[in-house]
Amino acid sequence: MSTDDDAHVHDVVIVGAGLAGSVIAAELAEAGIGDVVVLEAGNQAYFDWSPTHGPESGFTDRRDGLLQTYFANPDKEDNSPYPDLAYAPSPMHDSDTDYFVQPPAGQRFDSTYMRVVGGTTYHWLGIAIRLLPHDFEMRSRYGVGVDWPIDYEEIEPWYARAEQELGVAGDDTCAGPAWRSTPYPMPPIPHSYLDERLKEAVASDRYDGPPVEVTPPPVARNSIPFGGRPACAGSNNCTPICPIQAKYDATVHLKRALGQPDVSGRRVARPVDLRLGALLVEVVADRDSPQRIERLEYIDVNGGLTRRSIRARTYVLAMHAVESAKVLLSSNGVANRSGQVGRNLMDHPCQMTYARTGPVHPWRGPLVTGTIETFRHGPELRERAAIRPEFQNTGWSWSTFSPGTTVSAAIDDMLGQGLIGRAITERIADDLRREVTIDSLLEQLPDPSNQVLLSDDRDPIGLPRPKLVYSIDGYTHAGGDFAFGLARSILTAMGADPEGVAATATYDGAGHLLGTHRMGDDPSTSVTDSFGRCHDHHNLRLVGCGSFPTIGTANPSLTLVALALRTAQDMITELTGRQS
Amino acid sequence: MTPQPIADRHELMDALTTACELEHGLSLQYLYAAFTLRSDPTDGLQGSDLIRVRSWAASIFFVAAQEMMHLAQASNLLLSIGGAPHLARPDFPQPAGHYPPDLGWDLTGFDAATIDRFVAYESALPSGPGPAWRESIGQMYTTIADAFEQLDLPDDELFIGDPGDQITGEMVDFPLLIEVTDRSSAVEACRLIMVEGEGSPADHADCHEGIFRRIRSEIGEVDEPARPVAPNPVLTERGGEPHGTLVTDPVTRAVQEICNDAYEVLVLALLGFFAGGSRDPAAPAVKAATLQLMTTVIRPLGELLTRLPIGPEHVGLHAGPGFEIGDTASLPPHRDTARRLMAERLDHAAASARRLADDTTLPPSRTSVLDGVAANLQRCSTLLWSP
Amino acid sequence: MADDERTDRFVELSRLLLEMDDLSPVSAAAYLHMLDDLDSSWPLDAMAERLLPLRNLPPAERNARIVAALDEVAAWRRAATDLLQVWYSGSLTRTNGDLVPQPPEAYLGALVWPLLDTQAPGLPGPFFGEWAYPPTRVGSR
Repeated sequence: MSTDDDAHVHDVVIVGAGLAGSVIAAELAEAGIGDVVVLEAGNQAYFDWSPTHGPESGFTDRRDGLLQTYFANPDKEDNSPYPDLAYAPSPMHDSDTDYFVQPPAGQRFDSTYMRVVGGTTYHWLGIAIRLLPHDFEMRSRYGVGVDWPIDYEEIEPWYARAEQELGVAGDDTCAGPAWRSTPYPMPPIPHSYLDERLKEAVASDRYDGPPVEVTPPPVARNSIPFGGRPACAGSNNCTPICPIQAKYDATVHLKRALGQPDVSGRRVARPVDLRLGALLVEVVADRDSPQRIERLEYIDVNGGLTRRSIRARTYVLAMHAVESAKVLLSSNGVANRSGQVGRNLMDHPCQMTYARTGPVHPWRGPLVTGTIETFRHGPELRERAAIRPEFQNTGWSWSTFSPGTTVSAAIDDMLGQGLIGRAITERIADDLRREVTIDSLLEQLPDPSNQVLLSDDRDPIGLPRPKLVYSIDGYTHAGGDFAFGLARSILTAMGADPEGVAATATYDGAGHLLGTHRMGDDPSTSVTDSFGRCHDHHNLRLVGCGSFPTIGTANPSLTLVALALRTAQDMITELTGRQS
Repeated sequence: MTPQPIADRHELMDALTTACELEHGLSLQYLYAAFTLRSDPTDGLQGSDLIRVRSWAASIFFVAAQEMMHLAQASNLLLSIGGAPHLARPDFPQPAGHYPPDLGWDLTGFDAATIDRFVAYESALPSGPGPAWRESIGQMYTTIADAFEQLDLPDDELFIGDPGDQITGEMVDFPLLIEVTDRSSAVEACRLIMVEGEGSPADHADCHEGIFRRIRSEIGEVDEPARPVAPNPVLTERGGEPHGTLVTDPVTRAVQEICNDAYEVLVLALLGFFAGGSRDPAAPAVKAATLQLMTTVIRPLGELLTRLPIGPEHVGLHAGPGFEIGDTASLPPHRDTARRLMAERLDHAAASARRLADDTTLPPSRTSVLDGVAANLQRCSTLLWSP
Repeated sequence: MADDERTDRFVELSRLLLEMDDLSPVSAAAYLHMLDDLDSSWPLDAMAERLLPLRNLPPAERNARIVAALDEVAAWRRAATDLLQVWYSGSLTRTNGDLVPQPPEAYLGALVWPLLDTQAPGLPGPFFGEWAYPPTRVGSR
């Protein structure tokens, strides 16, 4: 598809058709920005689309093949429905074959992403929650971390738009103390039976001060039909894939950018040009005026792995925190006078506590329908990480790989007691019905020594594999200890034997990768401004979770979209010379 | 015959009464079709077929639930102007012309013709050749909304009901339900029903019509998505036309009776609940009982009936829930007494289910359903009333 | 022995060990395939020959004699454990920690799902709001 027109200068080239890239592409297309190219490493769209048919494509979602792959994959981890491309490997939760280079044991960086058309929102959980006002001012308020270059008041209207764009279900009971200018587009997803038993158990309890209050999280999951997609049907599989697309994924915006009519029949003014199998390898600055990026160089996977160039007035890297950093680090110092590219790598470490309580009948409904938002702020944040507990509707699957492990233990125990048949069935049913896992997201502070580097190992196509240096400090561990104490008190209130409450040995990753090209006012300590514009290059923007200076306890995607919408607005103003 | 504007309160109450029967009847027809889908992995469908059929079932259940919300909304509209909730309805089938939009009113299994009929129910455009109704359901609500806007009465003479009697969204797990207190909330309520049914210029995909059209476009992808069922299964022949299909298999009749009993109690409970229910101290328990009757009793029984033979006269055809309530729905005036009577009926139904489950000629897949239903009936009974 | 006869024997043995009559033939084929993949020489025939005749005994005595037989032969105990594991959970793990390849119907048909009154995660449905209510079927099959 790529034409060999090295001299042609497009308006915009966006690299990465994931959440940030697709949202920006859709905004630009809607505003009539004419010549927008989206480069994407993935080679197959899981919806009816071809470059030849373009906006006349059917756009029908086609995820049956992904579902069958998932059903047949014995290892049902986050990326299990999706292809792991030989030429563009995605990280997997498998230390033997992992794309990341990091120590095989101990506390690893445990989060993954996907290099496919539509990106990682295919497998995200769907929690669409705002950062709180203090999260933007951690240094000023609590003396830890850094301040953002913008505050909550600045981003609030963009949060409101983001919630409308994604379709977020929630109400005033959600999401803690942050003022809102608009109602949610959809009513909240109902609590599960498990959440109701939980609420009964902890009604009017407090823990170390704040109330233990269980509320439905705001989610990009339809509670009514929305955007031509159905309401959630309780398929209990948000991660790794929603079978009916009740959960938002970035193909919603990608398709719009490609010309799909919306539910009122409107199409964007100028659909974008999507090029699949395009693997960015280098960002090249103009030798004479290095504040200007001259071109991108990418590998055309479908064109015999040929290396090609592409030029634009503005470039946007939207490849998620690790890949964007990796390519920049491979680009002769582009964007990195601050030395911060790849640094301040963060995740939300997840402290998992689990026990058997009274019967809660899990494995029904979305994976999470109840959370606690009352421990995300407070003077304790001077000393320890904020936490955000989520209640899993999947038994111990995330903590112990139940039900397989629970079944195995039950069979061994019962046979050992000389019992078989119905007795084993009843034992398994009873064990599984009472499994509860509490997964607490912990804040992690930016630490420059946590970083993405280029390793000497090569991926199958010869590009450097990312090496991750990552550790968790005492501030976060203190939050983890607190989270365990809270979780244990909740589980015992729900009927668990205190001796039977356990925690996983290491923290899981939340699936969040952040911080590697953070925004800031000071070019010596940050990579971009709040619009993603690189301090070092006026025509290069970096978007996505890599932009975050701090991460609070909010799953980052809603903030990513708010920032992307704001960045798109800024780009449109710049490209057209007018406000859109 | 074009729809005439509504002239006074009583005509408005008549129209809203029809609306209640409509929403109620639509919900049951949608449920019936959804129950016949081969959604269980053991029903024989695999791969994409199973995924497709389960998606259809989930969508249809969603629409059925929204029709129940519309029923609650129509009930609130009635209460606002001094009326009472209306949950009585004639049994199936009903001929074309009995209701807008002038189509037959039938319990039929999932197939292309059934989905076509569902699309037509929800469509903004009128259809059907009959003489009585030349309007769509949406047009009916427009006429109702116009009446709320234009009836020549002072507001405090039109809205003579106590708003506290109305059912709140929280009480029925429908957050979007509107409390009707004045002309604008009344019009908003009508508009909500219409937009959810037939959509709006801004959105024709997310409404019931859009959902059914999408299902209709996908129907060809699956061979035999549903179990073969007889239309309009009945326990008693009413005589005259149109008539239902008489259930003659004795086990199927016994299950059908339990299902009808549970459904009748549900109707009575909703009748009490929709008027003054929010203020009743027993409201949370009644709420739990009604929701659990729907999801843990009527749904499994309804699906079970679609797996049972209707009788030797119709070889190869199964039954389904007939939802027969024989036109009656009345409650004693005291709530405690009413709940006690309902609980007693559920106790009897639970005992019947247990007796059937003990019948060793039934395979375990059937008895386990009946066991579960018996336990759930008992739980609902206890929620409603215990000594 | 013909494949069909062998599958029939497997189904009969499974019914006996699980104490369940209503087992899906589609699931059975998948689970037999997985057990053969795990250990191509697992003692299906010997176990069937010894244990199937116990079918018609009263349940308590039958189960006691089954367990006693499994205790006699280590390979039988292992095989029975694997058989029960794959029927209930749909998955099997080799001794080196690798997972045995799993046809889709193995996952979808795992008995834990109906035991929990739910479906294998990833199958659409059942319907919006179902997760708020108690399960439809309390108790095991």
